Amino acid sequence: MQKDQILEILNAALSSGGDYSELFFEDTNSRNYLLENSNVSTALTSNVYGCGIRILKKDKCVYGYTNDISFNNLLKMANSLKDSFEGERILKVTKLENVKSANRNKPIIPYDKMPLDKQISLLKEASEVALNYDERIKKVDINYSFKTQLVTIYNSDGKIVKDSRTRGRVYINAIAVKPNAMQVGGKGPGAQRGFEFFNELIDLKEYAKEAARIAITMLDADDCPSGEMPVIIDNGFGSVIFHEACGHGLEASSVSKNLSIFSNKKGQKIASNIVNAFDDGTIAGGWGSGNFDDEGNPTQRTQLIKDGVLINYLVDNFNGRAMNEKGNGACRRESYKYAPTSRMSNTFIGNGTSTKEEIIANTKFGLYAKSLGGGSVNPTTGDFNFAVQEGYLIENGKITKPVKGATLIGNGANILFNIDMVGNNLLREQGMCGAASGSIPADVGQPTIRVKSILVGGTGGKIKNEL
Amino acid sequence: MNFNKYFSYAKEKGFSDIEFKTITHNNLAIQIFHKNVENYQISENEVIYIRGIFNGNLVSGQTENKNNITDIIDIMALNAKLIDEKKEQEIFKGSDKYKNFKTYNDSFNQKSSNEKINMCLELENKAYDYDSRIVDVEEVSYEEVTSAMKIVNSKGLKLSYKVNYAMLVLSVVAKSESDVRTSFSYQVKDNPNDFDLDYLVKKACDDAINSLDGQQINSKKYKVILSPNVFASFVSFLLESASGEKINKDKSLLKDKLDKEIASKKLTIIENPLNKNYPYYYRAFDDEGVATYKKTIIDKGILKTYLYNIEEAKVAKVNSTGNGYGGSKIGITTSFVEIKPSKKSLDDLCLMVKDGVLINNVHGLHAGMNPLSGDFSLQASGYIIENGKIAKPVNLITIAGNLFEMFKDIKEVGNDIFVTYGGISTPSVFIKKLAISSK
Repeated sequence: MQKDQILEILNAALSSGGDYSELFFEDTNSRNYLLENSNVSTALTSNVYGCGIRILKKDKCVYGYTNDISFNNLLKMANSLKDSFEGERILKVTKLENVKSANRNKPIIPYDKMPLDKQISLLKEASEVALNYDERIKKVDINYSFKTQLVTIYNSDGKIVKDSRTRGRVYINAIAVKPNAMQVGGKGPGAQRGFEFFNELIDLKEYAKEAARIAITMLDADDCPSGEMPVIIDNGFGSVIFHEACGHGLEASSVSKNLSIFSNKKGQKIASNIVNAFDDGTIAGGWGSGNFDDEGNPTQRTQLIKDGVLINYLVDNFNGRAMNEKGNGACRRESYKYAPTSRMSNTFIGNGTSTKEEIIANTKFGLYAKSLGGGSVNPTTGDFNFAVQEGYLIENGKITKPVKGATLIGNGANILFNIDMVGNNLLREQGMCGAASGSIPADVGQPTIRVKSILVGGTGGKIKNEL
Repeated sequence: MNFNKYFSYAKEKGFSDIEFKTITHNNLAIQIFHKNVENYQISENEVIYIRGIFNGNLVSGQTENKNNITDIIDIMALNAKLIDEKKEQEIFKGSDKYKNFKTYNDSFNQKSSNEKINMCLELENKAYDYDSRIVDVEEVSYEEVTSAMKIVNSKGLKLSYKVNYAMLVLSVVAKSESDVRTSFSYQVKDNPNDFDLDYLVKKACDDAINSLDGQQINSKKYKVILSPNVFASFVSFLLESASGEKINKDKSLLKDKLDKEIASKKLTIIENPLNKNYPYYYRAFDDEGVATYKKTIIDKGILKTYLYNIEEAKVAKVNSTGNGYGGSKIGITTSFVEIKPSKKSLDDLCLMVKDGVLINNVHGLHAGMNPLSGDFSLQASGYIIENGKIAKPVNLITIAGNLFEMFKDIKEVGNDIFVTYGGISTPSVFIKKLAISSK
């Protein structure tokens, strides 16, 4: 579309007093393959294509989207959206200029430059490793997907922002079976990189082995006992608990409305002294990275918590208005079908000084959560729950036996104060984060940490009074 | 859209059969926050789903750009060469007969956007006025959806349907001196004039207020009543295990359980896609074009059928049960599901329980439920039942057990039917025992 046509749409959107208008064009091509026990069973190609129009007027937002991106249709939609405001024009856009940025996330081997059968054969090798790990591994499912999202944003600040985001991910699920019982172990490495991530930077076979090992370990595990106990959460995906119980509460979308337990807490202690936390959308090749966010601001590295004190929120321009803050590159959306809002990118707890061995040795009795499954949190109350994918009992400073079926229950405001040891082995792992603006790739990360006390739910009976 | 030219393009490329399905959505969404329209969203979207058979292999694609359909077909042809799994595949020529029922009406146009906004504002006001402990209305949202689907394929199938519905949601925050609780309520209607604002306010506000200052209770096994929304979540996991794909692939503990007792005699589950009382759940055919029908899945505890799409039915050498749903990849799921109620009210169930716990909320199902083994451990909240009456609230407890065992432990079902957004109509149920852990 011509620049003057874009200007006409942006200005039509502003004609009833709007103070900001934006067009978000997207063209995303993706592929998905499913391998079941090393056989490709499903292949899907998909194109997400359309435009979202956003108009802001003070504290109000209207949004529309369509996949008919002809000039006439977009103009029609802009006009119908602006009709929900009443007022005189206060702003006219006269020129549009490109905002430049280096591409930190450019693939070295683009997926379309590597023959598909070569890509698939790497997955088949990994699948065989998992299948051969133990005779009780009966099923191995591997989901492989890659996509390139091309984004062009035009807004009434006169900016044209382009970003290209190529991501690839493999999700391996190994299923272990014995009579009347099944357990699944999963690993899902991904990056904002090309195929080099899979054939050079990581060894998929190790991930496959790990998925199988988890499934077999849990197949033989006893039921987890229940009750309040210290919990050691290992490095990597264990940080999903921080992501859900704390990270979401730092997003301007809930902070600005006083709906977060962390609203109006800037400058205050919200965690124990040894907790430092960051959100960093600038990490090269990071799963949750971008050169720009989805309203055209450059991504940033933002320290959220410093020595236990809340120093920054994750802010988008719109919600920032109510907080007197500018967007800090944290505005994201799944696609043009969602109005963007403040979201996490790669969010992690920073390194502390303890070693993992020290943390375990210092724990008389408790649960060692080596990896977590998913969970959820109520942002208003802070109550959360998480499933433990792989857990072990700790008795007298030693890991003793695996336990299955554990759930961690607690409150986000309390847990941060209860972190009493932080390891020095920070690891980031990949996840998909779902919220108001859709499902987006996000890294969660942390070193091994210990939480003094968490309510553990499980079917293995109440813990005996060993504490 | 006319797909005729693409039929011949696909044939030239080597596809033996091809199918195009378009799904269009025209939606309106309004969100109110603190007496303001915080969000107003309109959208129109058309997705073209393509499924084709190439060298006997089924491949699929989808696009929102009607100018690149041939590109998608080209990639599908390349993808087909990668498929290892040899399975009998079919693009469906159609069933002999389809039921017909009008699922679309133009009631949305009877109310202007402003009237819809005013309805939301009125709902918000009513919630604030309900009780002084309702300190905030987190959200009032109204969403209306008009959805149309068309299927055409090279076997000559031509089907279409159009449906509309609207949903109104209220989320409130209740506060006491020492506690904050949230709750929400919603209704789905095919006419925006049919919403019952007073019902929504009472439901959300009572739930939030009554759950304030919940206690923890001693960890042990309790007699439990699951409220309809909670029980519905468990039912959907059970039905997932009845999927023919899971059975064929040995991923379900319901394998080899056909005509066997898998649940309490009190439990009967019916799938009724043709229930005219709920037009927005009505489906005369599934997403493969197979005519649907009313079927009993569990009859007094006995598993009567697995659920199939065409692909998995062929593996099992049976007919599709009309449960093939999905866009380009057709999975297996249910449409409208009904749990047969008894004549007993919730009060009757409480009297039967005498001392136990009513669970009316669970969280974290996607993570806390192992869909393979059925083991679950979930964050929950609800009320203590004391002397046959609902008493004080309990919060931050976990319920843990096994899905399949729990269905055997159903002692009674109630008559307080509630229809979930997902299309499950169920009363509360009384479970003999469930492990609850707390402090």
